[in-house]
Amino acid sequence: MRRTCVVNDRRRISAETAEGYALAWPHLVTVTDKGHVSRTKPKDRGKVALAIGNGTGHEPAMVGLVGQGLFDVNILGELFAAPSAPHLVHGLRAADRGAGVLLCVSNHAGDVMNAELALESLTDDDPHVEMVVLYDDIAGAGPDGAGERRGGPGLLITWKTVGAAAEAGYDIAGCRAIAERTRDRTRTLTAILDGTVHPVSGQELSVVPEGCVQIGVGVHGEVSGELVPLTTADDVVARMLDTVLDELGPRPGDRVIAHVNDAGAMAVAELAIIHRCVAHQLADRGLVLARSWFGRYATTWTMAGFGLSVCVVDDELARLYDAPCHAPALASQGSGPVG
Amino acid sequence: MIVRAAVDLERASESLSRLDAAVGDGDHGTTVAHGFRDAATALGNEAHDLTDAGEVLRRVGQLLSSTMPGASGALYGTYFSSAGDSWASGDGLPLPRLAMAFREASAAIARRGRAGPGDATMLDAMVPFGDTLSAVADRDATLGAALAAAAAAARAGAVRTADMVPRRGRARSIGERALGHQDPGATSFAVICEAMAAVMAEEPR
Repeated sequence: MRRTCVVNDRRRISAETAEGYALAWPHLVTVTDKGHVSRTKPKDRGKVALAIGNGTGHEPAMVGLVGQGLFDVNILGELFAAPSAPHLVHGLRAADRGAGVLLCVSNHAGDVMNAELALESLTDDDPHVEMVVLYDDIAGAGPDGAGERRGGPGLLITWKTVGAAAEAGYDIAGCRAIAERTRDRTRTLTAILDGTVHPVSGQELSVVPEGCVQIGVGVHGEVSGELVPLTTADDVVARMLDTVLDELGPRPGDRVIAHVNDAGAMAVAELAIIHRCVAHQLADRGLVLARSWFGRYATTWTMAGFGLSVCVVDDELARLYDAPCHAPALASQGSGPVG
Repeated sequence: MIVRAAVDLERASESLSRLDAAVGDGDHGTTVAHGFRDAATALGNEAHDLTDAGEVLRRVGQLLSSTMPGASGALYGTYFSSAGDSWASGDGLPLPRLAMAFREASAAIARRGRAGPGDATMLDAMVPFGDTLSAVADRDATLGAALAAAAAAARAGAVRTADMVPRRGRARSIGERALGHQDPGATSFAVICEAMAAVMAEEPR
């Protein structure tokens, strides 16, 4: 496990990450004077603004996902820590385009509490803001404890559909409905082969014995699933898909979207091979793969692991998913990412 | 008192982060240490009526909610802000009034964090702290003695969290694996209480 990091002042990790993105893609994102990352070319007025507040350390989520068809603003916290309520309030006020702001909140204690505090402190003079709590990671809580589940890499599928809905002019209730429906049809499971070191505290997050794979790991390295010997890609994927699909319960003929996410330190070839397993195995179960991508969407610093996300789509969600988007980490047109 | 809390938290930050690494992501120590230090600095640069405990507590809560990101900021901010609000709306002798303020603050934490006693959270140190302050207040004690007793109760509460299976926060997904590890939030709260008690012990009032 790599213990060193190429950073400057560890307290400025968030600020310097944001600046790095804005300097690379100035035509797409700008760092505001409050440290938020917002679209350089704002969305048309009259459309719902989409906001998210989160800690850094999961890049490209979500700094790299600010742009047309995705987020209007990412209100930054610190490393792995959600932004404080006062910080959120500033960002929410600035994000409004006249049709209200929908704040996407990943279901983690700090994110939810600070979002609630922020919304409670808004007054009648402030824009209309609503929050929608999102989760997809099935590790850590059974189906009955869905309200306790955390946000993971599969949230990208929800952000994509709700981002498209906002861009298409859906009102805030419509956007929320899309977000909740996508959320309720998506499940994710992440497996890791090695943990990562926390760049500020220096502590190791998750340690996996050589030759094993830990299935069921959260985005901050929380371990709650099973440790099994690492055999083949087919075997691991089969085990993971069994768990995910068992719960989703799709029927043969159902259309699905699948993502394979790099948690930080996989070989790209490994992701491609895993993706091949996913595509074949979904087809073997009679499911129709509408779209499937693999890439680095939501990491945990340099964790060596991968996440499988499956969403059972309907026509409207599939259409929204295919809408174009253009952000530093994701530019897509129809069937898949471009470039 | 906030300055002393900041210093003590700085010293404890290494062990707090180790606790957090066992059940979370290892940053609780630095988060609370930096948060209290920044709040102490800010407070030092502001002019406050130090005899108005309500105003000071509220301001501490406000500062902590913005100097500490994540769950810690939301919770510690809520705790001190609620204590300040409760003090402001109470009356009577200082010690019972303070005890009531901290008991109200614990209740606010329970609501905000959707937690209860026994969930292995900071509440498991906050509730004994508030309850002991109330109990001692009835017995006509000095503020210093009361804080010392209450801080000991907070510390005992924190130690007990090692035997609880966490039901809130990141540790929740660790489940039984968390047994044997004290909750970092309860432990940092105990450090803060001990700091408050230490400052009172050094001041002849």
